[in-house]
Amino acid sequence: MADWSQLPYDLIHEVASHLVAIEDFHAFSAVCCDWRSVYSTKEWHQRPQVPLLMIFVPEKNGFRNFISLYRNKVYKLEIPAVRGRKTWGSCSGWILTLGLDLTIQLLNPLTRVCLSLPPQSSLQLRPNDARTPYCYRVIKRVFVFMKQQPPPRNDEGDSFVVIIYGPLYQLAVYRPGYTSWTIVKETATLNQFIGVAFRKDRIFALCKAGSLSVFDIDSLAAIDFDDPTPPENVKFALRKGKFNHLMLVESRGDILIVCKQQDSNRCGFPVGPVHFFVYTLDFINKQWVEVRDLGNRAIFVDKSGCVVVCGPERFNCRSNSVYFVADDMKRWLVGEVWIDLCVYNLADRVSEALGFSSEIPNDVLLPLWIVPTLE
Amino acid sequence: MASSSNTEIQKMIVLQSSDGQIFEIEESIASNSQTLRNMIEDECADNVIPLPNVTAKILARVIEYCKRHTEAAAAGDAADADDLKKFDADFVDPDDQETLFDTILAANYLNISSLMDMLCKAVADMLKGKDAEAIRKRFNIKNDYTKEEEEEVRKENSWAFED
Repeated sequence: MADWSQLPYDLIHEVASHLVAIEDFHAFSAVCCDWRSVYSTKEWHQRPQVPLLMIFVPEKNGFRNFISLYRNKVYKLEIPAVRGRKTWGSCSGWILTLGLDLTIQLLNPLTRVCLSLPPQSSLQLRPNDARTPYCYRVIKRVFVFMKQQPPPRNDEGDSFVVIIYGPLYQLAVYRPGYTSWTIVKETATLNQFIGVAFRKDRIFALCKAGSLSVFDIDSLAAIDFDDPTPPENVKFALRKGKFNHLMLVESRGDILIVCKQQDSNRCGFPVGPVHFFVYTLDFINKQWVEVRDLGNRAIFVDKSGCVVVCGPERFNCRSNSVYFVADDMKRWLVGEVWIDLCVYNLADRVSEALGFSSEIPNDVLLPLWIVPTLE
Repeated sequence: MASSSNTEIQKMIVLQSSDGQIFEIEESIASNSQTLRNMIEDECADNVIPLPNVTAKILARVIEYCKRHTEAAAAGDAADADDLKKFDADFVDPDDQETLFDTILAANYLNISSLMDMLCKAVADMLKGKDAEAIRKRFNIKNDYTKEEEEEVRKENSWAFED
């Protein structure tokens, strides 16, 4: 009888190297003591993963459920570090949390690694903004980037955080070693930012007027950039003030705008089918070009932005698709609430509900995508 | 018969399986194995080379793999790629774990990188989507963690651990 636990060390590592999803890697390293050596030595090459959908559990404070599309299952976890704190997603493996005492932490909800960031007071707010309850609404959006893609190791030293904050929607940056948030001084007109992406040592920021500002990551100085005219759908969303329908994101060297489109009724509630449009920045001709086919990529959208993953089929996800959480207005009206994870196909422009509505409570706190990492 | 265009007479390498069977193969085919290649270069390959870790059944399969791939490489563009793909696909029988296990060990011992790669990938494919307990069942592996160790594992990867 073959004794697989006796597989030589090199072969154990070689087999593990062919595993792509982190969940498979965790299962592999939990089989027996010998197979665990792969986990302990951390020699596994980690590929970018499809995110898990993190759901707030209304009755249980400090608990979160995670939907895995790869395994089609739900993990239920207790995360003490979020108790009593306000949270923001960052479309990465991290969430930002703010305590009642206005301390800021960066938390990986899956590995429980928790980093202290400079407190909100270092943002040099006006006295009004530092008072309750406005002080809890200062941070608008959070983005976490890796300076090197792909990262050499899962090293905290390579990550940095950008936030959009304050009534003027300014940018501030944190990098490891900073004792306070560094405010990005805007030298041009006062832009109010709604989205941030990072590409080749440059921060790209989309503002409410639809223009793109570019900053160098090290000096945080603005870089001259011929501003491309925003596409019609983007202009429309901006005019209507639907800033959370627009997401700026980097993917394989491309800068993309993901634009969600959905009608609203007179009360401002979303009704009707959801559509997504994706535009890529043509750096040579300085214009936005519509992307009709994402190719071998999938986009995962939540209220804080989006994650783009290449090769989604390896994780049982579909290519050329956008995954998002939708609610059905009609059902709200008849008293039956229904929220589900849906997938939109860019080719035929049709959405399909994935059947997780029983897992997603009809809560005001919308779910967030969390990208699993080993460390 | 050598199918390559060179007119040199191929040196024959003689291997003996653990159960005493003799296999004669051309040097070009033996060269798929880094282990054998080293022996040939060190001029230790003139006599019968014993392979105490590999049975005749497994050795025959490994030699067949090397033959097919050497022939395909020699034929270059004229090689039937689909035929080779089918051979590789049929080579691994996921239900015959005993043979798979022995072949991996043989490929490792003989250091045939392309075969090791293919077999390890096949094993990984059999593991995908399974939790630890399902993997143990499939491969008949004993859970040798103590209660304390299992608690530690659970804490470390707790989010992905089966309940």
